Amino acid sequence: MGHPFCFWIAGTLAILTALGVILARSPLYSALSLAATLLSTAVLFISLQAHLAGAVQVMVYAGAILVLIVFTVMLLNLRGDSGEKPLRPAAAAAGMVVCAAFFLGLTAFFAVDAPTPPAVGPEFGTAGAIGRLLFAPGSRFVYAFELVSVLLLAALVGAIALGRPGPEQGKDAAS
Amino acid sequence: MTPEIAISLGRILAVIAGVLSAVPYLVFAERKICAYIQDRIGPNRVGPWGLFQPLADGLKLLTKEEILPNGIDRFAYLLAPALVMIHPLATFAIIPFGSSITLFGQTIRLQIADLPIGILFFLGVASLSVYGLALGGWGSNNKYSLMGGLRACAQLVSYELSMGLCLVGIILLSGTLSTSQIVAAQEETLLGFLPAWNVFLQPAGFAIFLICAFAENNRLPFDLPEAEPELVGGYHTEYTGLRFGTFFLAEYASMITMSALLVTLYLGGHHLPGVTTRDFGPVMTGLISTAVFGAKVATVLFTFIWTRWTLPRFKYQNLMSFSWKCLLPAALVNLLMTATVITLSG
Amino acid sequence: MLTLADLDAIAPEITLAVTLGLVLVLDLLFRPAERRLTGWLALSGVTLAASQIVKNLAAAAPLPSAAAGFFSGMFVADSTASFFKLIFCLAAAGAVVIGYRSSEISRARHGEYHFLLLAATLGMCFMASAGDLVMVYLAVEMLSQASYILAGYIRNNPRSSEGALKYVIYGGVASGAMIFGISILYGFTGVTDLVLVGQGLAGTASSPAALMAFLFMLVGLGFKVAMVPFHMWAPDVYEGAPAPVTAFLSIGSKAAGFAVLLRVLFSVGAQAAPGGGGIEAAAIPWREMLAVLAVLTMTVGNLSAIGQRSLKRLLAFSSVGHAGYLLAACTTATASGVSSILFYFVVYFLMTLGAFHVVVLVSNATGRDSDADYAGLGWKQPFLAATMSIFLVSLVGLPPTAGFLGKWYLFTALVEMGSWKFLLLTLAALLNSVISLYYYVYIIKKMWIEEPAPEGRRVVVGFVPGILLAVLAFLTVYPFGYGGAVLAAASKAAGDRASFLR
Repeated sequence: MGHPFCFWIAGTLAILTALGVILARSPLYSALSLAATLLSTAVLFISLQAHLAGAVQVMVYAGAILVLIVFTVMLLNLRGDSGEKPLRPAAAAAGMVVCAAFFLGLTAFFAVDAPTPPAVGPEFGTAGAIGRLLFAPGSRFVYAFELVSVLLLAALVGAIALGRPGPEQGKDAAS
Repeated sequence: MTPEIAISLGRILAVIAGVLSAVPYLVFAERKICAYIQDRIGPNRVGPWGLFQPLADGLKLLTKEEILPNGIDRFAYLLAPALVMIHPLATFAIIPFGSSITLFGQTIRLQIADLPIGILFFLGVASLSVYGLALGGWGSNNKYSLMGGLRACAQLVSYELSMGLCLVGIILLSGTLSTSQIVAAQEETLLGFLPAWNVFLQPAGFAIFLICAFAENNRLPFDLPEAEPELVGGYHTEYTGLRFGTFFLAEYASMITMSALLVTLYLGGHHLPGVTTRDFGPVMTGLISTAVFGAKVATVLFTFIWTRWTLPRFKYQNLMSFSWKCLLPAALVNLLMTATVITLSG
Repeated sequence: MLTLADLDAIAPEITLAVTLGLVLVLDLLFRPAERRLTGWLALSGVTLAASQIVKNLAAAAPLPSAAAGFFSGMFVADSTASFFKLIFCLAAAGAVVIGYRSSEISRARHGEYHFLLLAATLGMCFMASAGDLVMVYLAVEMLSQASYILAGYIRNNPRSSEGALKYVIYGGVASGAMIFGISILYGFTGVTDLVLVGQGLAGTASSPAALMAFLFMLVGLGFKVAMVPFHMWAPDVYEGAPAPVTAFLSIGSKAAGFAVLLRVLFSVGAQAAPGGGGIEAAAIPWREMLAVLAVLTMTVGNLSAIGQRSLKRLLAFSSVGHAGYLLAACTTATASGVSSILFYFVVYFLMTLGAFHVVVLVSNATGRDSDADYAGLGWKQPFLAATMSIFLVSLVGLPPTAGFLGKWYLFTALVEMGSWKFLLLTLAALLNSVISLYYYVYIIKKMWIEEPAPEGRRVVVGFVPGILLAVLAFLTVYPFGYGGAVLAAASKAAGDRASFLR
């Protein structure tokens, strides 16, 4: 287990930066806050022995997806706020109430009747263990992994189908 | 203070001091080498053979006026120079720059952190390196800076992909993500005479990685984000004085880090082929291995500089299509072949 | 370990996946104008998959390992799942056929259209067979990704883009909520296998966390079946998407949502008693919750359908209403309830596909989608108007149409439960059918009583669409020829599920 100190710092940071995501007026700052949230979450993962999950979190989310978001913000030059009020007070209050209810509820549940999680071995969360879980013959997640590859292929083709400029445009719109 | 913490701090300080103090002389070396390539003499006025030139440059940067341009995004503008320093320094944490050294009865491994996911750590940190450049470009309120930042984003993301795929080849060969074990795996010899460096096992991977390393460091022929004739200075156009100095420092520091990584992954790290470093006693072992490492890094750095002053710059669209249509398929084929050979040979 | 039985069980999925790859390659080989020929490949792939499903269904007894699931429980190939898959394949085939001549999909993009259709179908099949929370999530995502793209498939049409964007945003939130629910379930039980999750939950008495997880999963699945209050995407998506896609989504996506909803409800709850078990042990009043949602769904759907001027929007709200009836049947959790749902989907397939096909033909001719185009259609083109009237009457559920039979079995299953709560639910459903009568008959009235608009263009009904419409209309108006057989198959399939429950 990681140091409790680590948990408190990263957890607090994650919550604060998550608030930043929704409260920041500039889209760029929202994106940056989200990056910080993801990094803090990665620290939490790592402090729970899930090194691979933490690393993947950084590489995929903070390092690739958010970079693309930042790229888009810069490309469209979205500066400042769009003139809309970011939050109506009533909506903010409602959101806060819902969040508080969720938080209290979850804490109460986990305090009352959460089963103790099984102890994890030294292998837990290492790249090797996760690799065996995903690829080893006989592992049940082989099947899910294969499904993911089809899912990604479909998403890829879909993205191209939407994004590709149509040379056919206007030429044969009607059959 | 427990000895472990002291040792850790000592290693961290040593690495930071080493890298940062190497930068001025790298700059000096670059100026000298480029001068010779261009049949000039290069800096030779300050000190013997111009050796104090970097100090003078540093002093100049320190004493220059700091200007905050109008209309900047203050937060982004001020944060960016700090962010760009993270990548070169943090990556060095996983690089074993020597075997181990015994001082005052303590055996110290010459690596700050031997993470079980070392390579992933590198990839993660490298993928974050975009933010500094992007923020610098965004915050400066200058179209050239913005374009530089955009180009940096696109370029880094594109080239990281091929780089990651090359690394997978190495991971397959050595069966580990830890950098120290990758170095250890390169200790043997091939066919009786060749050191088992990954550069011989993965020549294509090495070439692709080297090209990506140039691109990741925004070095010519991939220096589009700061191409002087097109963008004035790219993302750091609006920076002056020490903040500009930080960008400058980070760029050269990341060159050193990238070379060190290249040495670790492909060139056998701190091992001298044919010599087991164990022979030299507790202190000398560490020193010699570090020296070997340093020499290898210097060689790679020379290649970096040599390339910069030899090749012209890409056009932007060629840069992107080179990455996606050339390097990425090549890296994939390399990975496929590696995996096939490993599977077939059991 | 992988066995031959495993491969046999997922043969339909393998066929679909291979076809999908072939379509992608073939698309590149064809010239843009010829790309819709990939439809033939897609159609034959779907047909082959359907025949494999039928073979699995017809197997006298379910394979012994069927209950335990294949691939270590990741994949459950019971007959209920097979029955649902048959409906998905039918819907996909229908979308290929009526999309073939649709003007909304440009010729050069037909290859990708078929690819995405097949991917969505594959996702639906995996949804029906998911035996594990991971598979539930992945399959739902697979269907969603493909449907988002398909919904926005008309280029340069703001409505299409708007619908797709709303779909993505609502869908993203819904699947986020669902995976959060899944994570809570996993956190509590430490497993992802649905049956084991049920066992784990049965161990923890009365857990509010289980309730929370259940609610979150209901958000994700309710989104797929267009359950109120997660139905807001439906009208915009149905209106904006190309009509073949709309038909496909309204049948396939809804059926898939119900398939996985039933699976989660019953597998998780399977341990103690049929339909109860883990969920009931955790003291979740899931029947009451579902019943309230069902009444809400049908009422909101039917009331909103009144006054819609766009036929696609009208059918969208009507499909929300139908989701309400089906949800009501889910609360029974009996074999007859499940079999009535299965039967209803067959009927729903016939009438919805038919109605959307007419909409495609009319909007092909007029280039828009408004009820004004239907004014006086009965006098100009009696065949089109007559078939449309049949489909609409069937959607109301009037005898002697197939829709009547479907509703009859749904309500019978409800009444059979005996308690006054279920009678109340049946009453609500009946009242809603009366409401729906208003807006369906409004269109029929427009077609037959109003004068045709003078500038109205003639709708061209080709030979193949004409045959298709005639067949669909015939099956809808005369369900007695095949209804018994389908119902028998459905109850056999549901019986398999019931045995799986115990």
